[in-house]
Amino acid sequence: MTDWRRDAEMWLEREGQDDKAAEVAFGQMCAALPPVEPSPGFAARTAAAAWSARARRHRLAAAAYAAAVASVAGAAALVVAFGAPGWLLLTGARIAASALMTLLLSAATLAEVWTSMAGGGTAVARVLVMPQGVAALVTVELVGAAALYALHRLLRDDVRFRNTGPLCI
Amino acid sequence: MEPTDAELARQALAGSQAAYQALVARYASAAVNLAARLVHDRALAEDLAQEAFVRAFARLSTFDPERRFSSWFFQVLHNVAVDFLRRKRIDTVSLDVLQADGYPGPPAARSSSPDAQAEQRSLADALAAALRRIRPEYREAIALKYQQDLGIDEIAGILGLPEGTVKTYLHRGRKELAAILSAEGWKPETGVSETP
Repeated sequence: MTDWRRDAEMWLEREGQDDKAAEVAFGQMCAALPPVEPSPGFAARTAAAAWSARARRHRLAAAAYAAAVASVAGAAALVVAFGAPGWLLLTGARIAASALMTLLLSAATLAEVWTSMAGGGTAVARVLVMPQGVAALVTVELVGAAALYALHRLLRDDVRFRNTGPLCI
Repeated sequence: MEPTDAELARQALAGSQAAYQALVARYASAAVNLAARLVHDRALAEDLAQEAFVRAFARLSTFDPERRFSSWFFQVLHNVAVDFLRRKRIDTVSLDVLQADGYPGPPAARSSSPDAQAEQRSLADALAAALRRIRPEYREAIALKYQQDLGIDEIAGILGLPEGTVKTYLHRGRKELAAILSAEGWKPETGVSETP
């Protein structure tokens, strides 16, 4: 019998008997797994790929920046050359006004939600300061804890049952 | 004196491609190894490892030199592998295919006898096949722990899981592997004595 087979058998024997020893034996056995080495030149190729990716990102960012500057400059040049047409100013003002309205409405909705949440919180706090409220809360927590404990016991029994191995008839 | 990972990272950020190449060379084997355990394809594992190194370089400015580079990098590699596995359900490839593709095969046997080498190869094949059959989460945790030799806290950081969950994954993964190998006849019928 070879060392490798003995290691494997030892690990499998220890599983289910001594967890710590099984873990150590498994670690030793994992040495049998062959390492997968990268192909020659992997590091150089990878570093070069990282550099070209960075150059690509820089080029893209520069192009986006140039496009933004060109479009703003173009628009400004058009306005300076021909003056801003009335319809353009009107549309711009409409868009700005509707954006402002949307912003204000969102803020108002947010404030309403906040107020109702604060109201709810106050109501809960009022209940909690009453002795009956505290008693009810403690009862609910006790019932919850008891239910969790029962569930824990059930699961533990279930695991114990499953670990008993094959049934002998 | 060898520069530390943090020094190499700082030099790479400053524009030194050679420094980043040195950093890649330091973790290339670990990265390809881990990726190969996840996807079972050598070429794909190299692609994923390379993608992880490229992505890590793009985010190198977020690397905290107080942390270990390996933990930070394995986190990036984990994300790359998870993205890939989500995008594509991959078929597994047997170790024979890997070996035909220039896979180096098992490390030098403890004993040079042909029997021992054959036994090691047989065990490696059985273990690799069993690893493919368990859940990917268990497989990755096992590879990080037993192949990369990382601590539970580091694995938890890499996988983004609580330490308790990592311990559970390792325990369940090992139990499942034991069940598979036992079913394949690796478990002896009688007890094994520790002395030869």
